[in-house]
Amino acid sequence: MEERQEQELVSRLRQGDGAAFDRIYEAFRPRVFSFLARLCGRRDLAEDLLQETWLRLASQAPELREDTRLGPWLFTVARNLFISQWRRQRYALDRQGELEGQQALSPGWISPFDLAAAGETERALERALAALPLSSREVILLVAIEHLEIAEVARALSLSPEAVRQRLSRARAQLAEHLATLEGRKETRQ
Amino acid sequence: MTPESINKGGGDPLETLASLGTHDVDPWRAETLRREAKARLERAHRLASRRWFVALRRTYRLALEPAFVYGLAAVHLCWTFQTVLSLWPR
Repeated sequence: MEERQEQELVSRLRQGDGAAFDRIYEAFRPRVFSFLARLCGRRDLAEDLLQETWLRLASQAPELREDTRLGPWLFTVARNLFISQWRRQRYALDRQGELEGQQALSPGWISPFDLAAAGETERALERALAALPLSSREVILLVAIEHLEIAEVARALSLSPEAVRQRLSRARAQLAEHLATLEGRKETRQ
Repeated sequence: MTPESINKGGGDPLETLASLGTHDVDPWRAETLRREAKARLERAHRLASRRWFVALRRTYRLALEPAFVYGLAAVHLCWTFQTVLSLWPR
């Protein structure tokens, strides 16, 4: 979506225009859902967080600034909601390791249909992505898949641009390492 | 491109990630969510059109809520200190 078009939609949304909301919803819903699903590794949780993200947008629409960029705004809210949820779960169940472990090599949010339809490369990348630590995964998702600017990612994650670059570099190395591990397992099976 | 070629210099994994497909919720859920959010949007717009309400909410968020939270924290801190001090014999 072009910046000018986005600003027009934001302006209409601030005035409570339902049609503008529909257009934003259609354009960003799959992207936000994919981001959340890859971030949390659970489809049910991703759906709940997606709902909460759109309800937040609707509630806060009149207070949005004219120059709000919808992509970064939505991804920031979605990510913050996930972090809150993750912390609640971690403290309530004391299962930090278990959560990380659940996601490792098992992107359980992908339906069997999607898995069957996906190519070998896509499956390997999804698995490698799911195996990354949360701090690396969120940076990679925002930069490589959602194409946010480094400055926008820095704002979303409350980090400096330099810290984002460092995390990205580390994440790239970890991703390559996980891909190599997956490849090694595949060769062992053969 | 295969996982092997990504990893053996056939391409940057980050560039390949950009080609990953997007996923979506099922249409029924998407429609339910859209309706719920639009109802919320209408309500938010109705409330925003009442200026006194916006001013009240702004005052609450910026002044009353922080004052209440900090006050509660201060009272709790005092109570904690008093309780700890009362454990020591004079």
